[in-house]
Amino acid sequence: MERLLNIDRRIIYVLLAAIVVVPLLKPMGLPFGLTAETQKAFNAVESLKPGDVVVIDFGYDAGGAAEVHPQAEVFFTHCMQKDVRVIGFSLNQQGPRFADKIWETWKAQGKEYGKDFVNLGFFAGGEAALASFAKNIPGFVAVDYYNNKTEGMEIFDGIQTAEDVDLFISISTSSILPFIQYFYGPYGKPVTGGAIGTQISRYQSYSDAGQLEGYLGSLRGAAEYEKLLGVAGTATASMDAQSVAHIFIAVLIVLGNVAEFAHKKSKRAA
Amino acid sequence: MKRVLPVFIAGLSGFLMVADFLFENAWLQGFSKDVQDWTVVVSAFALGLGAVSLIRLHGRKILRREKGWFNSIVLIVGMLFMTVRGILNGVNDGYYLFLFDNMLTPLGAAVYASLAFYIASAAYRAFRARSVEATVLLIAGLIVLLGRAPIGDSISAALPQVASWIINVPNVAAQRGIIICSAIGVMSTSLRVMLGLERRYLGN
Repeated sequence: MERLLNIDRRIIYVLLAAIVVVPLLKPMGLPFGLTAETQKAFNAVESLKPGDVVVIDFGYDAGGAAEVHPQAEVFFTHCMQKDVRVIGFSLNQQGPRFADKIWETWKAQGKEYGKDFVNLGFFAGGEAALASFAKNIPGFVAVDYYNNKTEGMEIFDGIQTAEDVDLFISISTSSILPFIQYFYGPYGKPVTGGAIGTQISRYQSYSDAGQLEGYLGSLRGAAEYEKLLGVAGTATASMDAQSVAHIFIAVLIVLGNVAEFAHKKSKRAA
Repeated sequence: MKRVLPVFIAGLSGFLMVADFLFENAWLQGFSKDVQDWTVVVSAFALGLGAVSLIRLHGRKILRREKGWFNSIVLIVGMLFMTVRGILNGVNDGYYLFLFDNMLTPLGAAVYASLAFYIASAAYRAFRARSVEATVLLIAGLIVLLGRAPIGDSISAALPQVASWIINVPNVAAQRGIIICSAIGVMSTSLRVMLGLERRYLGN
């Protein structure tokens, strides 16, 4: 029991790596259900009409991209399928490049830059930038991420303030709450988003209160959205690996407790 | 005057920003928008300041040949290269895109993914039922861990439901308490700043 209690952590690392790699190479296709939050987020986009306007914050960097970039992909895909206009920006310096990568796919499929999508790039100033952006959307930045002048772009037709936007989506590794504060609070506009797994417990109360139209929780949320869209993307492909990793960690927790319990018992007996 | 004027400006600005949120007035809207734009400009300058301070810190490390100084060289060269290429050729510069997509993105993902190994090791060593509270936490944690995992549905149909109940009821109850208390705290601190009772932001 002593040996089990003091197991070398490198053994745990190797076991975890081996367990995760197998389903990535040979997917098992385990079924998974839908959470109410993903369904609500999906419905928020589904209810949009062609020509409506959506603002998306690609607020993540390379570190968090593995978990939230698939969320951005599914939201964007859904928006493009619904023929809604997407105004993208990022509160993270690296975010605009991820928006750019998603856009490349849709550009190749005939969508038009400046009409269907605009990438406004990085916004410095965090919450102050959001508040200011809400008051003057077309004039907040003079040039976009690619250095094009934003003035006169077709995508901004009929848009002046946050009042004219139909849905706000924040995909962020830091917090999606500023969107509630600056777009739902003052303008009463619907807000949804995507977050990393460790943050979702924070957002449930906002969703219950109706201030958030659901949210996508980590890669699982993106996989559920892919299921609703009827596409099998990167998130769905990762679900088996996530399942076995969760089971492995659960087994470790149980094993650690059993070992400690047995160790204490043997010490008491001695 | 050195103390009174900043406190007066901060207090007045605070009250006007709150007034803009509560009332519809063109002058107030213009004022708050200007203040918010200034904040954005100051934040942009702060980014430049951060870059200068980073170069100074790591430059000193290289000059003094401190431990890990070669890492500092990589940092400064990488930072300057990406900045110069980005400014001169824009975001579609081939080198810039290549380094972003093939170095920064996989390295960032690798660092983030390494957390899984620490979590697995920590779960084995630290997540122990040493008291009643710890046992409740342990059981709830295990249920949520398995219930929110995609495989949860395959283990038992009830598992995701119980996991959702834990998140939707006890978690939300506690979160609401924390959120409301924090909001009251923020309101009282803001009021103290606006009334000039809280002056620590002046640096004294």
